[in-house]
Amino acid sequence: VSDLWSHLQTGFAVAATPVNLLLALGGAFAGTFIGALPGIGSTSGVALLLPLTFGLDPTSAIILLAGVYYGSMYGGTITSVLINTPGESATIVTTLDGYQMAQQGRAGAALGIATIGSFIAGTAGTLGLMVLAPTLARAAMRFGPPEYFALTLLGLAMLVGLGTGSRVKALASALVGLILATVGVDVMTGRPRFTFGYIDLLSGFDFLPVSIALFGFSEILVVAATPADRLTPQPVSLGIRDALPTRADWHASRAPIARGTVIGFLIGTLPGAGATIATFASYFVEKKVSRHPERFGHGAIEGVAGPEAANNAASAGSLVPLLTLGLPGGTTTAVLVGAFTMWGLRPGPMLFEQNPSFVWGLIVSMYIGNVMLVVLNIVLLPLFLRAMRMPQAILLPSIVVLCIVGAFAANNRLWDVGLMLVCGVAGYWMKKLDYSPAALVAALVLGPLAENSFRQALQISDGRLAVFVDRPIAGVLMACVALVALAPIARSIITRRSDRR
Amino acid sequence: VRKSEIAAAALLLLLGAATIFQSRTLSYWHEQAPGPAFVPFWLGVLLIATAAILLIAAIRAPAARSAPSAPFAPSARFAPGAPMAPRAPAWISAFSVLALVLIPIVGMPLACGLFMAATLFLLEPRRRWRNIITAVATVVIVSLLFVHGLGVPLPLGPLGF
Repeated sequence: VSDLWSHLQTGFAVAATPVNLLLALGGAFAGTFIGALPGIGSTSGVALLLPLTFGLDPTSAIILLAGVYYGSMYGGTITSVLINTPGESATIVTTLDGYQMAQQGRAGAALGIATIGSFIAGTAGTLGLMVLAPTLARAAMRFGPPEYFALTLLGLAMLVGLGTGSRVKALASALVGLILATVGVDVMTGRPRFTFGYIDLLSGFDFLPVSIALFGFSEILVVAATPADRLTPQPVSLGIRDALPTRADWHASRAPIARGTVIGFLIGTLPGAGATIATFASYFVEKKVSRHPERFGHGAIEGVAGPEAANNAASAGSLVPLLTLGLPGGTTTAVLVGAFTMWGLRPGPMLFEQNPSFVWGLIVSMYIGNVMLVVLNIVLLPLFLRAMRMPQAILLPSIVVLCIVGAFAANNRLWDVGLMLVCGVAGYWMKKLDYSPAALVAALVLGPLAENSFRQALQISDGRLAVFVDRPIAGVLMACVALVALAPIARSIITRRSDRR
Repeated sequence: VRKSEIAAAALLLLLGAATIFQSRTLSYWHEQAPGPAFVPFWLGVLLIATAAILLIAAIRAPAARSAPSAPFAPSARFAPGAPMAPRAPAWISAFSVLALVLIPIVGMPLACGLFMAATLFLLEPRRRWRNIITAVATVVIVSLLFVHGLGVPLPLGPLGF
């Protein structure tokens, strides 16, 4: 406990400086704004704003980006409730009852309970992160190359297996990402691979232009292809008082918020699972435990409170595998893994030992950011409603300009702008055909770690593949990989058999 | 959609084959450990197997099929209806490529301004003055924020911005 207290003091000393407080506020504001824009989510926001952090030290940069991450969870709710278009994949479930509430003239209650639920869950999730992460990091200190390989494989398997789209296509996307990650100089032999004589390819495919392309540029193309009427909100006027829930609303939402917090945090800590699955799980549970499940889908406030708490708790939970194991908990944290590398930090257990001010500064900034967000979302609700009405004709090209400049700023070369454009068009088709850009980016980021760990493990074991199963931790992790890989096959066999009966 | 599915699977098949073919030029085993060709070779094999499954599924699928939902994006985004402008994604991509070509000639801020103008006139051709002002503002903001504010060495044009 005394350790935790001293770490918190370190964190406060870092996060409560005027610059970092301003950055947390700026990130929270930008995140809510980005989340409130239809079609642009937290991953796009983090990828697009990443180049703006080049002049900052890593701690300030992560405080800004974390603010964008959890801020967009708050903002994404606004579009889900008001125009039935999720600003963020983690708020898809909110459309089911949130939009119905808005249709019944209760948009303010839906947004208010979502904000309060998000605040409670975000704060509790950060508390969970603070307690769980150091313990897990200490355990992960004993990991060697076989364990790291098994762990990265598990992260990728979960990202593929737990995604909401086609698993085969997600696997294909991950394989493409892994192949792209092999381009460049081979670290172990110093030989160039698949560079075809191009100097620009020697350093491989930079994750930043690819992330900007797949989560920024391609998103713009998707929005540009969307019918205009789906993106144009009906004029809604809401004041601060409208966003304050009544006593009855609060009474009905207390338990769903508590359950959503626990479900969200636990699912968020699983590598690859992410906030979207947490919201679906929370909605499912709320409907199951409700005495009136027939109200769900027709404006039940529990259907908003639970999932909204779950997505914020999951965003805190997803930082557990990121900070302790270096594995992305979801799409946005996949971009953050690459960002850590860009700042010269290696996400993983050593981060707690080597960069305590970075980790604890981030954790404390999340407490502060959540307080800022609850105030921002209630006081500035009318402003965010105006943001939704921002003309798409101006918004879309502005984001493309940010994509172009951001891709260039990654390495100060036009090659990356070209790469961003090619990957952006590819990303548009990937989304259209149900492939997984998230799996591709995660594989691109984790690929070098997975390959190097794999080869090092075989080097120290004289080429024995059994090294991945006869060490206890690696063996358990590989069993989990097998479980994640085989579960969908087993499920489909069982479903087919029961269908035949 | 079915044709696109087949084309995508075929492209993946080609990528897998090309990876295996190219990995032949590298050593498979190096000093008692996997060499630089080991991982790409097996990734290529796995990709070919996955692409073959997708190709067979796409060929067997009925011709008329509804668009699938995007994995990390709301499915409603691909619902039928009138988009913002006809072929807007294709035009935005083309303007972006044009901006990339123009960057070494006119500089990044001006190329971004021209891109902005072209896209604005595509999406809202009637609002001429607003489009022009926004395009000029883009040049100024890119110069001030990135070049002067963040110190990013963006390529500048002959006019110094």
